[in-house]
Amino acid sequence: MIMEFPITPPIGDRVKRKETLRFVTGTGHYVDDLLPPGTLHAAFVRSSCAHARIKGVAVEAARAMPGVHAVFTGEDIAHQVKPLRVGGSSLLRQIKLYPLAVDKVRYYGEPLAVVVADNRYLAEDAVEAVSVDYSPLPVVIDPEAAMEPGAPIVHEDVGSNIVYKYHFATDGIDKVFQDADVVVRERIRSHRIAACPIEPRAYLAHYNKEEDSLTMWSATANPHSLRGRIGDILDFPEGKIRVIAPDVGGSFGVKIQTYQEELLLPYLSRELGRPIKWCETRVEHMRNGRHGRDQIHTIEMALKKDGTMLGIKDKIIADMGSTYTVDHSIMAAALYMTGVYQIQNYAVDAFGISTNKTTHGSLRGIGKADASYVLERLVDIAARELKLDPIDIRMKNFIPPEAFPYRNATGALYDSGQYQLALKRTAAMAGYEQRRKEQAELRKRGIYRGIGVALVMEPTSSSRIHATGGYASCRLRIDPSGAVTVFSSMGEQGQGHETTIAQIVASQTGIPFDKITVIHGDTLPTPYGFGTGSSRSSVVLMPSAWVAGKLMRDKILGIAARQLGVAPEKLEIGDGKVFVRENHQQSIAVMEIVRTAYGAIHLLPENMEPGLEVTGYFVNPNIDYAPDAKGRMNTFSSYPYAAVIAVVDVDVETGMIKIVKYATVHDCGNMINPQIVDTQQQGSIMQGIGAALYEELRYDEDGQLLTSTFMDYRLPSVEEVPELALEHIVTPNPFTPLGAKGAGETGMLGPPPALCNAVEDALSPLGVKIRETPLTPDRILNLIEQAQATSHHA
Amino acid sequence: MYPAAFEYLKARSVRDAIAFLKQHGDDAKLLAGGQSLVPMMKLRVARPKVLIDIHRIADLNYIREESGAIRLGAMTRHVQIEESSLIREKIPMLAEAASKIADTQVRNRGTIGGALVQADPCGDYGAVVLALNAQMKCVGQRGDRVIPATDFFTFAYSTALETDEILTEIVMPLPDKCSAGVYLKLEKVAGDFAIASAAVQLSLDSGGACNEVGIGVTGAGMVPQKALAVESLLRGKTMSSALIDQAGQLIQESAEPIEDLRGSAAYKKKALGAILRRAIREALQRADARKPS
Ligand SMILES: Cc1cc2nc3c(=O)[nH]c(=O)nc-3n(C[C@H](O)[C@H](O)[C@H](O)COP(=O)(O)OP(=O)(O)OC[C@H]3O[C@@H](n4cnc5c(N)ncnc54)[C@H](O)[C@@H]3O)c2cc1C
Repeated sequence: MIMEFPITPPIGDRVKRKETLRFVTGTGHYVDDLLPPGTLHAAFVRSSCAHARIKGVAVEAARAMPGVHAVFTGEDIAHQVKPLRVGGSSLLRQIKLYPLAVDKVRYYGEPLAVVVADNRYLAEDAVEAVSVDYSPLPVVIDPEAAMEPGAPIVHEDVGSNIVYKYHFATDGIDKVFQDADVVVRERIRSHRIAACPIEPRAYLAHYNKEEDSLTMWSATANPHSLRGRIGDILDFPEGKIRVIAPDVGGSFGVKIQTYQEELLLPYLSRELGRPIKWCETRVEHMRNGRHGRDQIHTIEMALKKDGTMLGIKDKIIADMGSTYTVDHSIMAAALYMTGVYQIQNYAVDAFGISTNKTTHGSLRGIGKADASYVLERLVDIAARELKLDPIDIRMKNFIPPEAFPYRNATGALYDSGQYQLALKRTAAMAGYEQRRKEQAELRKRGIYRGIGVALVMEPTSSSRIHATGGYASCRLRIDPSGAVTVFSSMGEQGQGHETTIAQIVASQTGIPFDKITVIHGDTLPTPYGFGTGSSRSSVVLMPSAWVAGKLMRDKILGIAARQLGVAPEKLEIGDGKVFVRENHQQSIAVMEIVRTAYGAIHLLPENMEPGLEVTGYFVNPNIDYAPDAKGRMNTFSSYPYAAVIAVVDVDVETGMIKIVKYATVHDCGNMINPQIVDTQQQGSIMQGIGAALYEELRYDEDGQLLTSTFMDYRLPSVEEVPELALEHIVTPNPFTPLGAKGAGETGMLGPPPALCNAVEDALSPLGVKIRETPLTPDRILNLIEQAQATSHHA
Repeated sequence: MYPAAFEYLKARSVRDAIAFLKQHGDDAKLLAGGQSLVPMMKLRVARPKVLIDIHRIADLNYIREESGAIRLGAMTRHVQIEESSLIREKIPMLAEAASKIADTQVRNRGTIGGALVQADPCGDYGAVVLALNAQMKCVGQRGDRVIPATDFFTFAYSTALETDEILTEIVMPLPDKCSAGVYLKLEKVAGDFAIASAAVQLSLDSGGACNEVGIGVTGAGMVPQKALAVESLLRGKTMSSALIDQAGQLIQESAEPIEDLRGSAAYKKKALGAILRRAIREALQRADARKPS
């Protein structure tokens, strides 16, 4: 179904965010601000080995410490709870995951026992008194080593570290490679990073004995799913569980998944009959929060001499860490390796590998960031090989606007796009031609300036078989006092839903934006729905608000029509009134309609229900729930993208990189609030710059994480923000009523390929080739030296 | 991030603090701005039983010019140094070093005394006090003494201070009127500890030869170092590119940097050479404007 876009203000306005004031004045409410009377505090005993059998855990000394109420080990609770179900597709091998490690620890920092005490300080003291007897096992950190026969096995019951395998090939892929003029090959690795939300994880579970009910406050991005999982592992009726996500300080994907500690707290509260709280420290978050990226691609592209791309073959090795629960990262990469190019010949072998690292999971751009990084690097490598300009080779191969909706080789259905236009505009913004001349001049003076091009595409709003991501919902109520409330199925962690939902409802109903309150994150009042991730909000949640608004509008007009004796089509809402379009004097106050709906129901049109409450659902468009005969399917429903040109200077004496300019044109279709889209892009771009230049999670051979504080894991700060030129083009998504595509992640995808391409371009006179990231000064100087050594040899 | 239990004592004077130190011996730690000590306590790497808070002793917070030197109370905060017009005018390299430390929050609380006693191998003040031949005044149970900067740093995170001594004042002899100084720091992101840094103070005679010169560097080893060999290489010589390159080479050869997540030892040597060359060039430019005609 192709949609029309009847979009009226305040949709599309730069409305100031409703939630900003409480955040900037420090009056938001986070889990850590809550302290019900009688709350006890948990602290975890965490593995000091990356891989070991647990021979014994001595807890007596800890139990005897002052203020300690209880100590539980994995053994104590293994028979009291059910293991957590592993998500993902049927290709992923199942493991049993308990809230605390039983028998064996599989990564450094894995929780294996818990102390509950009067306060966190005493709990931490008691944690130190627990002594664990380990029998160390060989550690496997490198995913390629983990695939070798004889490698230490992370999950014995799976029997292999290859826990996921996927193969896909189009007919005739080999022939394309045989017939090609050129084949370029490369091995490219995306390194492991952390999302680092400003608020780490935080949980507070409160079991009420008298009511036999449970309230769980969690800094989660997925309250309804969490509720189901708690019910599941505790064997507790889901209807008696309420999950509340109060203000949440960022998620970036890492809070959409369910964690071991998160499932344990409700158990502890039920056992001890007291509220139990645990707020993660930063060090714990670095060790235990989900990590992202970490894929090795061995990829080749077949081309004609003129730069026409013919086919791609890829082998993906994705490090999933130890207690993996999802396979989205591999799927998202494997399905999109052909990116924004017209390449219908494609083959991939993808392997998900279990290692003794922290569990891998969702992180802004999951899988898709790896795919676009690898592909956009490969395109530059091909351009250099064929002596083509990096812009020209892309322009030649882009999927043209008239080809949309476009089905790629794996069956993904791209909604819309104008890639040529986006890159052309970006080149103009960056002054590309002029920059090339300037580059030549600077080189003569020994200044190494580089220009990097990339066009990244971000599949958004995923829905997998058996997942609940296929829809979202909003319930809209006008109560007897006239107060307008929207209950959203999806919570927010910085996306601005309180504002954008209100904009949509205001636009549909004519009720002023300021009068609309949005409630989210609480499973009790809000309708069911999957969590906030995969940039789904603008694709499924906002349309559900739009549907709810439309239902409400129809109801209001229906009531007014009967009272005014005019057909509903002739009516308009505005200024607190419903009036006849042709004759504004003929009107009725909206409050009068509210009173009718609740208190004078004999005046309602025939068969109309009393009250003013409606629920809007929207189904994720274009999702396939089963592959076709050739294994092709579409699992994402919208395809925003961004063109990027980055200009950098590389200091060849120190290896330092300075971003001179970062120009980007972004297309997420219609923007509900361009201000919010801009800030999402800015933050997202900075996160991508961090990933490309500064951030890396590093392990030593024993599997100890070396980067567990912000002293060692350096994030960029405001001082690293480059001169940023950001513009948008609008190609509406034809499959949603608002014409919107996901807007949360694309920014992060640009910097890794654009900056690598720019640095390689800057250092091309020295023959430097970049194969690893981040682009640390140490690595840059090393590469220069290596390149010089080889050129001296030649 | 939950420290082990400790007792908190507030010292109102240096004498108070000495008495507390005497009473609690090795169980006690002085608390200045807390910007190094508190994070370590939160990680439970440091676990003092008693904290003696000296950071509000007013007598230890001042910046003044007196008998040919700038005197700083040990509890003077980084932000005060960064913003002091006296320091900016008389010893700009010190203000530059202070401004490069961490972020605003840390600079608002951290103190010069705390930073020097912390003796982080990558800290910013070490190079400056060595370049300027500063003196550290300390008070202990057995009385006062003065430790020259060159004797102050003994190892990573260790100084010549006894555990029952308090650093009270840093005395920086005023450089010659026609001398100029600079502090340059190479850092991965703004506010990070240095990969390498160099403090260079020098003056030129009317012929353009280097007269007085003081150089300190960090990133060359476990402690900040006074680059004596480079100083003598430059002293009395007319500056040239070749000479500056030689200075960089010299520091690079003698350096034994600590390998860490900011870089390998081999990398840090090169980085140190580069930053020293740049600092010398910058100092020369500044000195040129002040040289006697
Ligand atoms: C995020 C962050 C980034 C940082 N980055 C940098 C940087 O880039 N460069 C840099 O140089 N520093 C950096 N620092 C350290 C900062 O400069 C600290 O302020 C400094 O190291 C310690 O000073 P303090 O006053 O906070 O001392 P405290 O932390 O209170 O004390 C440090 C130590 O010195 C002892 N001590 C303090 N005062 C005295 C005294 N008068 N006599 C005897 N012993 C004393 C204490 O007992 C303790 O052992 C950073 C710190 C943080 C938290």
